[in-house]
Amino acid sequence: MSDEMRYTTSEIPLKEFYEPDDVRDIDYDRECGNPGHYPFVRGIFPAGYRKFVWQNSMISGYGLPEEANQRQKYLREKGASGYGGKDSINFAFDNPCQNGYDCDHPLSKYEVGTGGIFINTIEDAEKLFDGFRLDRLNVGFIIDTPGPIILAIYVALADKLGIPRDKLRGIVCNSPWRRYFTGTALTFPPKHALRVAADCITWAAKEVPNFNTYSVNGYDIREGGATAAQEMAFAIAPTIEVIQACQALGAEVDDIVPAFNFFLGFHNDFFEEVAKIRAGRKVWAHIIKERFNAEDLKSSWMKIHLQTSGSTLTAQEPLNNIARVAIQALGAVMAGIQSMSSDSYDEAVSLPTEEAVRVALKTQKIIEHESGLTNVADPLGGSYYMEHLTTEMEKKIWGYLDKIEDMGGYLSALESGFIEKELAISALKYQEEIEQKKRIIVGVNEYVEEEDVSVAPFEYNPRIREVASERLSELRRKRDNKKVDKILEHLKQTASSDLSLMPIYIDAAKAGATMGEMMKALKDVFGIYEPQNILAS
Amino acid sequence: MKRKKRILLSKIGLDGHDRGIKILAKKMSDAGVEVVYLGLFQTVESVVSTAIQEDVDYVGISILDGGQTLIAEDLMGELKAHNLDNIKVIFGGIIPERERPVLQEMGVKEVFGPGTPIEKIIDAVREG
Repeated sequence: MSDEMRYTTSEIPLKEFYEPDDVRDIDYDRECGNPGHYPFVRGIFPAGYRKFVWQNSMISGYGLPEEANQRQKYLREKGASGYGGKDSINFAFDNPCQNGYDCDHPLSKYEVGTGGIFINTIEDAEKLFDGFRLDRLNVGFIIDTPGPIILAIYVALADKLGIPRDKLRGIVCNSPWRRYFTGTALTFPPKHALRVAADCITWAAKEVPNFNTYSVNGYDIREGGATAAQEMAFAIAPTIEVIQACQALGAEVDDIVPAFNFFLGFHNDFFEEVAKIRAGRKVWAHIIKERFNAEDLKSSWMKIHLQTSGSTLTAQEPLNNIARVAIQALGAVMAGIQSMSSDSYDEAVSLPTEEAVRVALKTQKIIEHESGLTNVADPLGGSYYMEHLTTEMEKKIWGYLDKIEDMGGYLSALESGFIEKELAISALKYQEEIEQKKRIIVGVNEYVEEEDVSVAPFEYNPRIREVASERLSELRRKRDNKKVDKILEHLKQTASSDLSLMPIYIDAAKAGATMGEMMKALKDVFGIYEPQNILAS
Repeated sequence: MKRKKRILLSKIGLDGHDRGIKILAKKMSDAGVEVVYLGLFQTVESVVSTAIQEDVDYVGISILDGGQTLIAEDLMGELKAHNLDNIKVIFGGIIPERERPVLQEMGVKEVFGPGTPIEKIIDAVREG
């Protein structure tokens, strides 16, 4: 033995090498199975990427809707593509939108269009999707509690354009609680947030059946400091309560869970990350089949959208990030994901420039066409190390899930501060390892360049908020305000019932009501959840 | 005995990225700096009134979503309006190199980018 013990980030101890003895206890057919077979450790499709190559879903969004639209057209021109030759768009939203405020709200002052797009009105959506056919598009809306309203605006636009609702494809993240502790947002208290999310999921299962309405989000939790095992466990745990809430509204598991999609990250510890995904698929399949008694095997598929890890990118020597992203993207493909957003090398400096996002997209294309990795499913399967690590990771994930269950479920764990505290501790530990040089980050704490090797940052249009606010005033002048007020009043009255709010959002959007006005109506009824601001101790 | 340095740490506006500032709050307080952690979703007004109330030497603001110039303009203006020239302001987060002189011109004392060793930030506050 060498003198020091080594561990993965999730604190799984590592030996110097692995051998047949380490995997002897694994019953292959029962615990692993071939690709495309339960419990899906080795992937959800038997043919891996031969039939469907993963979708390029480059996260993007800034500025006015027409500016964000231009970036999407650029990405399409450079080869970004979705399943079955569809166009693929994946929108990040700005902070005001994430919090449910329109561009002209006083709290929106500093961040309109700076960290993502905004959709306040059906007119914004029209500009955003100009030149894209909604029936040939796979769209991602990375937004949570205001997500159902954003989906409603999108449906309203489709109705207006005469596109059948069952032709709409894509995903709205719609996670009720993830933003309580990472990328936190001022949204509703837990129970009301759940009501709004579950309403969207159950309504959409009937009305927009091909649109995914829930993102099992591990990514933001991970970027907020979680370890690999925590990422998977803290993504799955709240989903159990979301499914139960939908069941309470009368939905069957097999109607709603196929519309769930995972959103995961891929960090630096290559094998641990692949193990996380393989183990996660198994845990998820088990929960859906055994706990919720799903009859359709497809319900227990963990479909994964993956983003490389923004928090591993460095502002020092940004070009080095191309290598980091390539390694992470390679691992993601080896883990068998369905959709990917690869980060741009300048993301620790600013929003991506056109050049940087092109390199990130082409990185995926290089893996797809030049590495040979699309030929064989689960290429790491059978490695003593990989299989051992997958088993250990599975134990870790179940460990957290059982602990949360013992605390009375996810909401109790959240309200007790357990989740936020765990993240704070993991994030602090990671940072201390860097400070103490136990963890080397090239260009940051070792191999540091003295001379300036920075890149030119992306530059914003400085008039975004001004223009957006003018448009809102114009809209409020010309719409039928009596009609809007009436619909918003109806929304308030319905909010505290069990009835679906989705048709009301759609009516409101068509009448020219804004996202912020609808969110305000709901906040008036539900109130606002205050962040906990918990530090590690 | 020399009085311990006091710092107010917070985020202004709707930017929810608080991983970094929470680590900083913990490490600074471990290092003997008195930290008032005001957390997320603050306004320029709430930060300045707390700074007065808590009699801090420093205000540290974390920004990862592009609001730095507008926030600096408002924050420095509000401090000036209360004649608080003695309070030093530091910024940290994703702030492009070329914007740093602009912020310093506006009166921000230090700007710390991603990857800055925490010791360096603590030293700047202890010795400043």
